[in-house]
Amino acid sequence: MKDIYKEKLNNLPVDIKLRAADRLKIHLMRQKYGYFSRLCLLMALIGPGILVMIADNDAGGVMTYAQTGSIFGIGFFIPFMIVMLPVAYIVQEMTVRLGAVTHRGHAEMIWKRYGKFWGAFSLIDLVIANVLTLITEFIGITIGMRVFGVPPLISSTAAVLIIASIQLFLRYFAWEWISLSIAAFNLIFVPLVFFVPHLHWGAVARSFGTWHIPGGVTSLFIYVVLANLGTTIAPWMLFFQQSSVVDKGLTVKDIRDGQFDTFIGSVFMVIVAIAIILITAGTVYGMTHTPNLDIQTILAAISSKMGPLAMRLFALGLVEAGLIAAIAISASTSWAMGEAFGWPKSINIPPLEGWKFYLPGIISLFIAGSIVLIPNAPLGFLNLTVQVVATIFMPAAMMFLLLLLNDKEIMGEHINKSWQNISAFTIVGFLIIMNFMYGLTVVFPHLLG
Amino acid sequence: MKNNKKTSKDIDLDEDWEDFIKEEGLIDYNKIPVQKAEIKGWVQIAFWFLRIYILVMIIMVIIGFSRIH
Repeated sequence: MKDIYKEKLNNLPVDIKLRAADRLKIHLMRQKYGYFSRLCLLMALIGPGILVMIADNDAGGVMTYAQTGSIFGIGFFIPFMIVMLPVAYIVQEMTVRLGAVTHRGHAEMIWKRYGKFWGAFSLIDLVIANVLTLITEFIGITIGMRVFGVPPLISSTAAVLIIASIQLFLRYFAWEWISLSIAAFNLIFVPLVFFVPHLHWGAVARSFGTWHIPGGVTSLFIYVVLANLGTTIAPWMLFFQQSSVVDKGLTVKDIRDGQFDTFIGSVFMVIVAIAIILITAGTVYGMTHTPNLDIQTILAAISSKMGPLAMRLFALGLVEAGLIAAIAISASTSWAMGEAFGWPKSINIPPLEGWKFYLPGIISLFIAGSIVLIPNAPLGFLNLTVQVVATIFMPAAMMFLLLLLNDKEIMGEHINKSWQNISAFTIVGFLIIMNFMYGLTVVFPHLLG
Repeated sequence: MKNNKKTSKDIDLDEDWEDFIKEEGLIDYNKIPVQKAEIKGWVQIAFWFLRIYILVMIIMVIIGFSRIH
């Protein structure tokens, strides 16, 4: 980089300086022609989309997909996961446009546009849901590491220290690449599919024609659909990707690359989800009819059908899923708090200058890492509470997203198109109907048998 | 901005540093000003729907949790 640029960069505030240096590289890349330069530009711009989608396959998600395959096999949920690809893309793509156009995070936009009440409502919901979700990530990390003989005290402490170090000591560019490198291990589930005994690809193909639901529509089925929907689109994802887009410094010129990034991420997410369902459908489905399958039972079944190496790789995937999601969720807590209260809000800020920004994320990690170590902690109850909070919050978070994306004063020419509104409202409608049906089955347990 | 018609390709950074900073939205002054929205029409209906939805879900959650214990 020319010295004159370095001199000018040095005159900027520290967080803007680092972002300006990254953006200057993008700016210079954009002026070059040729396929290789275009590829370099794309590689530099991708990140938030892939990261959010892979972090979405978190420890809770891996457990949900594993239980889905174990209880329902492949009949309904393989085609269902394919449908989840456009669902995830449509929802998350909106955050790319909103972040690139406004240069503001989701929490800041809700707070400033719709007032303190809704701003505080969204922030409190997000922080509670994030802490509870982090507990499920630490459950995944400790269970996965126990397979390798590591006691929970060591695995949980090590995870808190690793994630806190990544947040505190890496600036955005390095933080994103380290996170993406950890996220790459999420693909560990894919090769395992080819070692599932007696997996009939013909049956997998036929499921797209039949959408067969073993046992019919029951409250358990609705619960599992809702759990899968909940792992595909979660409130923290909206906040995370928009803040990440803003912190990375994407502008309206980068929207197309951001959309491509989100699409690639959605594809990875669905491939991994399908792989987990296929593995557990091939190894556990039919062995037991109990809906209360825990992950240890599933790991034992994988070990007996596919061997201990496959089980260890599955456990490693579970650890990775918890780790990458904990990085993303704690970052989303920090960003949201910073945006809501007007604190410095960038991973480019050194820890001492930005301690207010980093503190909420670190505290949430510490709380979650400690709770999993409490003997006889009601982890099942906590898991249920996560889903309940997310269930109430998701339609609200989606509504704010849709209101903002239809706000011409803010979005200008990047406002939602008709097809985007129709798709998004259909998703919100489906979410509300499913939530309501699940609520009814809780209040009236014998409604669906 | 000195020249609004300039594209990023035309910008010479030695001379147009300020333009680069503004175009990239790196400094707050380039952010779109956000004021509190006027809640009227279908937006008002959406907010009422949200309030009712939250209320119904909270009632269901209370009933659900009370049955657990």
